[in-house]
Amino acid sequence: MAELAVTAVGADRPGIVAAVAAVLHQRGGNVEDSAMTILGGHFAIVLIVRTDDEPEALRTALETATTELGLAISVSRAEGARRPDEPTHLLSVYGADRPGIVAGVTRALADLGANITDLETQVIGQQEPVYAMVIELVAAEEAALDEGLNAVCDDLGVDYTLRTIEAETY
Amino acid sequence: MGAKRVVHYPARVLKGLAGPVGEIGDRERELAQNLVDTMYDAPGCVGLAAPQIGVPLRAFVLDVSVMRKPPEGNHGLVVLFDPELLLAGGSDYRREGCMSVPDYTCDVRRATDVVVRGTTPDGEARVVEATGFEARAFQHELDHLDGLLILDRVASARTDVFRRKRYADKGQHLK
Repeated sequence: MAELAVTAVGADRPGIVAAVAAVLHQRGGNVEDSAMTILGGHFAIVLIVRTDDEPEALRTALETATTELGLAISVSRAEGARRPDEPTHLLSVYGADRPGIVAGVTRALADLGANITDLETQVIGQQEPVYAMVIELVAAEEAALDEGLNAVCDDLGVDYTLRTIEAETY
Repeated sequence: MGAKRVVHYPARVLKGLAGPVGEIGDRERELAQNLVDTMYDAPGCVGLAAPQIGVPLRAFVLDVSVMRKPPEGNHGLVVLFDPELLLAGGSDYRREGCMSVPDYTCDVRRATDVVVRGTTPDGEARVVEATGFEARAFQHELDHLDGLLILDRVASARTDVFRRKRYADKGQHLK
């Protein structure tokens, strides 16, 4: 058994997850971590499946079973996984929508040595669209991170808030 | 009608620190009336801060009694100038929206019990103890006076707040 990464994207309609999950189950796969959500009217699936299947065979099987759904599907080996660090900070970035916000902020984070563990963006509203991005990240040094973010957000004309994540253990 | 237009982000007045009001006179009472009229005029609105009508002063109004299921023990219409948060305790997550960020809601963690002190339109000092959703409303409005929006208070990248919990195994210490 090995881990394969499967992605599937298509216009949202009922039955997509059921169709994909059925194929994986029938072929003896076990879905591990996954994220499935609607992005701009498209349903997007990213998942890790533990299976004996070969990537090409699984992809063909998925495509055959979901032809009417018109999904764009990819299957690849998921190798080199390492246990992710728990995020230390939560970063909100938002402003009037314009190109370059994701690229600018994530470039600055990479340069500052921060590792992104989760990222979500959203376009809010239609008349004066606001772009909102929420990032969970692992950072060693908060002061340098805040300084760097201040500079890049100033350049981009966006607002931001950086907070430490308080974890609760039960 | 004193109802004003509600200002939407990215208007800069929403991101600044609102200034102290100090002495309460006719101008301040008129501001309070405008806030009250604007709040009641907007469907679903339970609170409004002065920056949301373009006035960078430390004043807000709230009234959670207008909700479909009004929280027990709420104070009805509250109008406060120069409010301060004296005490905050407890913690809860709940979906919030904001008139100044239309078409957006997110989970926000807030204290469940607060004590807030401020000045009334009559110039009197007033202390309010609030819990639950009313406490949440107080904190939301106080945030506006410091240039903070719900976009600054988003609880997590995914809307699933339960990712934050970790369950300690017996005999193991988790950081």
